[in-house]
Amino acid sequence: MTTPEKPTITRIYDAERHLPPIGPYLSDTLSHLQFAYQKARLDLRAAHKDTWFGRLWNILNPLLLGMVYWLLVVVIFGSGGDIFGREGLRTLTQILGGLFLFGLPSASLALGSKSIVSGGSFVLNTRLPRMLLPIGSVISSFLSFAPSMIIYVVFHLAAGYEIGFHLLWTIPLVAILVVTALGLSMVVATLNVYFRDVASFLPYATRIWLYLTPIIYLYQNVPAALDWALYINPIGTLFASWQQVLFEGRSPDLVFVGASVGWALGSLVVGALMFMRREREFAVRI
Amino acid sequence: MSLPSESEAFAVSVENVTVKYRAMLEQRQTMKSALSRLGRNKQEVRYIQALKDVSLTVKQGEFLGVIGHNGAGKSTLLRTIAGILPPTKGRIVVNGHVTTLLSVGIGFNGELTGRENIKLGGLANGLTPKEIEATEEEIAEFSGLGEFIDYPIKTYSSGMRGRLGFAVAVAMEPDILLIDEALSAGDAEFRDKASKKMREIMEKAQAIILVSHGLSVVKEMASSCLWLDHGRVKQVGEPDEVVQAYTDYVAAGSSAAAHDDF
Repeated sequence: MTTPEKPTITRIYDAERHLPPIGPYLSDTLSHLQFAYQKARLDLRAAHKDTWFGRLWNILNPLLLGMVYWLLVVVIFGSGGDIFGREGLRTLTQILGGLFLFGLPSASLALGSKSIVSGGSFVLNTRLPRMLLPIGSVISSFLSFAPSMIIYVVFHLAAGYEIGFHLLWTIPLVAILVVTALGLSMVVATLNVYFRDVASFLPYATRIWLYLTPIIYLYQNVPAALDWALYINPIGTLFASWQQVLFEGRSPDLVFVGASVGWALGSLVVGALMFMRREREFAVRI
Repeated sequence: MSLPSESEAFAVSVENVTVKYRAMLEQRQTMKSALSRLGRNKQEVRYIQALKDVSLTVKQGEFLGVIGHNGAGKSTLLRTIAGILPPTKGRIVVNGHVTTLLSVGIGFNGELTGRENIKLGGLANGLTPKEIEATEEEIAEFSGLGEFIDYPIKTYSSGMRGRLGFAVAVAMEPDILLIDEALSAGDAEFRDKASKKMREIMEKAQAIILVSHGLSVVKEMASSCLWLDHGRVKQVGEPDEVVQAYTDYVAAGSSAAAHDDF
């Protein structure tokens, strides 16, 4: 409970300011992270996603999708080795490793795009930083993504990929991806307030994004002439690094990691500024 | 009630605030409609001034009742003070921890139970999980919801939502409590409990702003009263006087809209 000696908080709402004071805004956001986390968790529960079947579906969905792409690659295009051989299993593992990770940004964007518009009473009745809503979307996506990694481990071992300290790289890579996903989520969350069909177009955009990212193919198979495509994709070099760590058993190229960090910070700054500049209008727009 | 220039400790100071909405005539804003609008070159936007140059000060320990016809800007005023709506012009200074109790209730997610909503409400107000655990029972008790506290709030009646919302808001020990029509939600028994709680809050030299259509509630509880008319301050002063003036005004039929309130 609040104590009598608590400092008096003075808040000033001034029509002349377009951006809220950034320091207090961010500390206000950070001090309510627990709220964003609990809301994400409870929302997942409300959607029955933390039941046994809900969790199973979270894993089954990318697993089945991975099988579909695998059949496409191995059977129809005839690449990726013998379907029942070790090469076939390795191809499947590569696809699953990427697809599971891709679930993180794609779910973040899908949930994030709707977070403000469906934020209802949060947006209308509280003065909390609205940034907590897209943050909550990313947390939800992370909570759905985490268990899929357990399944991946089984495939990794079965396919006989290397195990070692290089795998620790997966942790910073996921962290970089979380930051990128948050930045992009704030962009689509803002856009969707003004253009309500953004959330409807998003699944198609996400599907194209999936094909443009080294997931169902290896980054080495990208033709040298199209190398730049990895760099203009916010998550392109990150997924290339992911493949280097998981399937080549080594540390990722620092150029790739650097580009990924650049995209992450860039998306975060652009997304946050765009979001903060607009967020005071959200209450009258939804 | 006084002008903002006075030096006494104030809880809320509203300085020449104007709030303008952009009301969209189109049902939904989409990229499609934005594109088709390019062809017609017509902006289908209308501006609505909800508050026009409103200034007021609420002192520590003051209980301000806000009355006025539907659409007079009462709820907009509360939302602006709460920091939810940005002022188009002017400035608002708030001294203290504000808890809002607005008519929509606390429901962050209708699928969640009352208890889960208490938890989220507490976290949203900056309590730690430990502090919430300590107050959770008290809130559940105060709301008088019984076993419903563990049901999803989508199963609640509007009165039950209102009660839970009020219970959460007052448990946050706010310095400034903003209430929008909350008392009309509960039944007679709950109303008694709620008014007692509000008196307690006032005794701690905190401020309350209550928007109400129930003129008797304002007369009975408020220490001052603000009458808003079409977004402007029509009168400020003793509750008895202002309510009387408002009642006379409505009875004289000066404002057809005001009849909605009876």
